[in-house]
Amino acid sequence: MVKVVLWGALRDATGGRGEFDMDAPTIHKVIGTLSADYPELEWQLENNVSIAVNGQVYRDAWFVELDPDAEVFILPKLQGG
Amino acid sequence: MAEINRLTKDSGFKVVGTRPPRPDGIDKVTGKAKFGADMFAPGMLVGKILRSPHPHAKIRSIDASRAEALHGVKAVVTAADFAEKVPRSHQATLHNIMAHGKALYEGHAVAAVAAIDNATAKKALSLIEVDYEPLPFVIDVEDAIAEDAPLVHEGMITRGMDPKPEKPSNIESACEFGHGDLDAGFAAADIVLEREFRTEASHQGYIEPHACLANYSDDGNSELWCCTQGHFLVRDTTAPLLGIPVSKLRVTASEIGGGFGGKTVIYLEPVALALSRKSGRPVKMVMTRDEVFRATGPTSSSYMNVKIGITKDGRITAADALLFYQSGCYGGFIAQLGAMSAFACYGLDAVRSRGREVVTNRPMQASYRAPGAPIINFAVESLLDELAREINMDPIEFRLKNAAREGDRSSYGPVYDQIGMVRTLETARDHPHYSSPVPAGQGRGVAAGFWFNFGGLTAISLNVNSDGTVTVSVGRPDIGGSRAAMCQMAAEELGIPYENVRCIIADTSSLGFNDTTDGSRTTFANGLAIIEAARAAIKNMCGRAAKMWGIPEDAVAWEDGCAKPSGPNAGDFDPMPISEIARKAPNTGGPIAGHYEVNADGAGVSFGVHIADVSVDAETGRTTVHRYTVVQDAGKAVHPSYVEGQYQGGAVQGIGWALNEGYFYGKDGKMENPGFLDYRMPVASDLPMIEAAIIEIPNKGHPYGVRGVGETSIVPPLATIGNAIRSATGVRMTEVPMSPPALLAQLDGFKQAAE
Repeated sequence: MVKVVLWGALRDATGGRGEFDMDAPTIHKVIGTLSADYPELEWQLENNVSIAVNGQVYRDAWFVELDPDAEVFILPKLQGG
Repeated sequence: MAEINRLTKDSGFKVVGTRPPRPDGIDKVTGKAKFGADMFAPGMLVGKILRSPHPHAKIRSIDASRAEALHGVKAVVTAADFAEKVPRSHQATLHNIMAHGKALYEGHAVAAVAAIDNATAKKALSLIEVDYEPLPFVIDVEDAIAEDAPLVHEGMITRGMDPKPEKPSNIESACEFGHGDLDAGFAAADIVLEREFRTEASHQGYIEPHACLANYSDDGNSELWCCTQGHFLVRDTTAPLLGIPVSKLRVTASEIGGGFGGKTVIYLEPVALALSRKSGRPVKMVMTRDEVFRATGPTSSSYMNVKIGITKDGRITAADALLFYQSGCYGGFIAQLGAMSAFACYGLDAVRSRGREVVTNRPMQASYRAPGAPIINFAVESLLDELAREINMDPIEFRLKNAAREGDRSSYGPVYDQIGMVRTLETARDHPHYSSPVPAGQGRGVAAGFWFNFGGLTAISLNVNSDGTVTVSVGRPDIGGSRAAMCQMAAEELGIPYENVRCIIADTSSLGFNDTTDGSRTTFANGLAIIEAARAAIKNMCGRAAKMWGIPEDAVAWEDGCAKPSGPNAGDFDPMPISEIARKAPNTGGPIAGHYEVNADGAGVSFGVHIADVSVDAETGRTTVHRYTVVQDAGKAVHPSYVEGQYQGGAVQGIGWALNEGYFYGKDGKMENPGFLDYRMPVASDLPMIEAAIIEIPNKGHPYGVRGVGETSIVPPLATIGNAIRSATGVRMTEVPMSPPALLAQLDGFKQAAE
């Protein structure tokens, strides 16, 4: 199962829950599953996050393929100056 | 899932790694370069903004009738002249470019005029009558989080806090990162130190104020000329604020006199366009320096608490940080980045960092070169320096013992891939600066720093001209020398001289969307796109040669700017240079070009280690920097002079922030030093030449191994200087700026305690 961890502010929309295990072949499926269960998350997940998969950070990469035991961190959208 | 691996070349470069003349140098030193304020249009009006004199006030009414009646005034705009409904991501911007019902800081735009000249515009501003109801205000971050603090936004409940607060406060959002058992970690420590730290806000200090020229035509098509780090961002934000489709607005980026993150935000552009729409004429707006300080975003001020435990032999067992970052009138993202980067240099079993974004009646914060990271780095690296002293351990060896390595879980969550923290520390340890004796009367300080680096949305076009020279069109403004690097990478891939490539910054109607020039992304993301576009053009040209020779396309190779038969069986043909292929292009298939669009990932994190030797004048508290060295990984330095410049520039900005820069506010909530005389930034005569040591650990995410370099160099200086002052004087400064009066007060106290 893919392990998904949400950063703090996103947990407002999940009742405080921050970790999820799910079957998800891609990041898009992760986003779809979370958005379906927690509709308030949808806008944030589509517009305002960076996603790290086994250590590699992606800003917007819905179709990155996930290994069955991948670790996915949903982080604030990383910005620079 | 395969890791990102685009690396195709890490040695044998012919153009990359050299130091050709910069393409923008002549125009900049002769005054020909066109910056934001250098564009003119027939019939152009002057636009000016009326700004709130109050740090916090309800706007009961605005009467602009006397201003509108003044001869020479062509338009007045207020919040009512902008779209009512905008995308969620633009709401703070909409309210910041023009106050909606409430002024949230001294300097907040309340109305704007367009008039035939500067004097008329200024007179018009004085005729606008605004009925304010002043409200209690809050400026300092600790005052803002106090129980009885006046609220900047009524009813605001902190996002991201668990349990959710019931009472409104000025804490806009909360975040937490980390892993492991902190209690067990601190219990296992032999020494635990905990300290409070404070930093004042620092402005990006770009020498060019914000400026733009807007032209709204009667058919709805509009043009904007502006100095910006992201003209696509300007377009995509300005258009919805005016309620017009994105395609109707074309934005051209001027040369830019510095940005450093502060020009990734828009202030004037929608206002100028609204004035142009209302007046029917082009409108030019240029900020004064006073406006830049009062009304554009600096980085945050902060209050932090850091606690770290170590064993007697120098292993960190636990680390905990709580950061309150003052973000101005709207919450942002800088506390998050600070919390994420706080302990990122180290491989820790028990770590926690909690960030709080705190709103105040100050200008909305903006990014400043590695936003959030230098602030917490000052606290963490200062405390690590104290801990190393407790056990009498060399500061670099102490950091090496705890350095993050491949396979370590980062303090912000993901597990590290191949990274350069150890090698950067070792290079610093082995650098002649570090091994040289500390001169008498001076103290030496060391600190390490981290930054993420990014890629992002990129679209470029590469065209082979009829004479075989090449033009590359990119969509990110050049704020640090990227055009030279783009030319070098195109020349390298095509095998042609650097002088035969020109790079231009195209307008928003000429390319697909490009993210802003920030995040140390441009050489990385633009570069990989240019290499791919060059490869596409090469494939095209090989195909043309193959047709002309009558051989299969895969029998043609590309080498040193020429198509060649790939082997003896391919045929006996002389190499066909790019100039010949280009000259014959009209007859072989038409114009030759390559393009590439990508959302570039794989930028790779970076680390830096700084060393400083300073002395402190005991009579005046002035700190003199005698020697300063930056050690940092560039992956592959495309143009080493520019890379060195980035290291030096970041270090200088960090040193200025450490020693002198800060906002001073009066009891009336107004900024007291909105000018370069009293907001003292370092100039060339203040500092020695900064030594730059470039390490090259190839980044697999880029075909040539390039890693972003623009931001990491500002992260360590505050702590490096603080640690050097500690060495020189015995005094540990816990507040920034460590200005002469602040240091003198500590020195006097230290002297009294010693007596």
